[in-house]
Amino acid sequence: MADVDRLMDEYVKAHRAGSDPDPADFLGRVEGIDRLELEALIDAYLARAPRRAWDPASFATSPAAALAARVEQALAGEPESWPALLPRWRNEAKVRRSELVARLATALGASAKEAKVARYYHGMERGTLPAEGVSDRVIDALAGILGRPASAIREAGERLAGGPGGAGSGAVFARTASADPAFSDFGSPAPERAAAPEDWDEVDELFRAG
Amino acid sequence: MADFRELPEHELQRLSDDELIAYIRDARDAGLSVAAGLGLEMLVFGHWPNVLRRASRKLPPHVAEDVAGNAIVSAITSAFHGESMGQFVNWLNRIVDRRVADELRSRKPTVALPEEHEGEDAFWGSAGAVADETGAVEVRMALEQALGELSDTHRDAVERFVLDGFPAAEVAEATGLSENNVHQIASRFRKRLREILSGGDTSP
Repeated sequence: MADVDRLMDEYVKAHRAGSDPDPADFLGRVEGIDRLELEALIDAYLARAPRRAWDPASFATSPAAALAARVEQALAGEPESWPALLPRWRNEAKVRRSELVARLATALGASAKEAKVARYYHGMERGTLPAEGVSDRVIDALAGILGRPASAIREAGERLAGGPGGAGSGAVFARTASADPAFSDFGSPAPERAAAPEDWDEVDELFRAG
Repeated sequence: MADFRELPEHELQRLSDDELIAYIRDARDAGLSVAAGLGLEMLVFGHWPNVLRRASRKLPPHVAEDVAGNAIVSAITSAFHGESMGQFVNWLNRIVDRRVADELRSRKPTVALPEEHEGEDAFWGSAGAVADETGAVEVRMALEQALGELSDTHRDAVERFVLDGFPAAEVAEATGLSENNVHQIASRFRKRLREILSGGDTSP
């Protein structure tokens, strides 16, 4: 039990310091009943932990930004844009994101570049990919996978009006509407950044050239 | 809503979840969309990492992200529609647990045990407790059972000392117990929790 005490103490200190430690790193250091107990304690700690401190810069690049937009739209009962609509339709179609991406890449003839398709689709769900650049081929392929009209997907994208920072986003709250104006970074870490000119290929063409 | 007062960020940060939700509701009623938006963003941003970590206990990352996101949307919208019960954070955790269990149930025919994902950095929960689709909440249920066997005061002490990690002296002062008592109660709780987790005696 001493190991559990020590590890729990380490975990709580790291979490309170704001580092969002991975529980797996701590659980991997104990076995059997100790591991189960530590798992129970960490899970309970996380369930009770207060909200993390507000950080506008981190928020702008966090999945929480798109999530907040989804909540706003749900509360307002307004027509949904991609960050709200795509995950919901995907859930209703019972298609996991990885599966959707694989099927989308195949439909676009880009199976060999599935990772890039994944980054772009992620940008669509996050609302960070400008809708006007997404080609009809992508929209049609998505419509086929989700079993929804292509026009509805296109219209939901248009509601983004240039991303969640767009003035016509339909968002209820202006703050979120100005949270993530930059497409160049997709609002995400480096792997999701837009291609450099020399890396431009047919996938970029499909998702960014319209 | 003429008496609504817009709060600066540092004051919003100090509000409890339920106070923050009330603030957002008042701001919306007053037509102050910027104030309401900031409050909502703080609520979502504040809970996102912990909810995601909890969902990641039994689910691979891409699924956990979906489940966590859907749970947060559901919890907040139901709180605004007056459908939630009790404190927001408890409601949120109930929804997360339920969604994780639902997800595991839907994956049952093909779900792999966590050991099968070694190297994928997918799960942090233990496979040892996974007996069926309810495994995701089994560890939490064990903890709830052990807590449920305590008196209100002792439960309060255990939650503050064992789960929140506050010093015994501080917990003693808050609960009216002696510091020594806090340690003893915590020790008995931990022993009982291990008993339940090991699948032994489940009666108090």
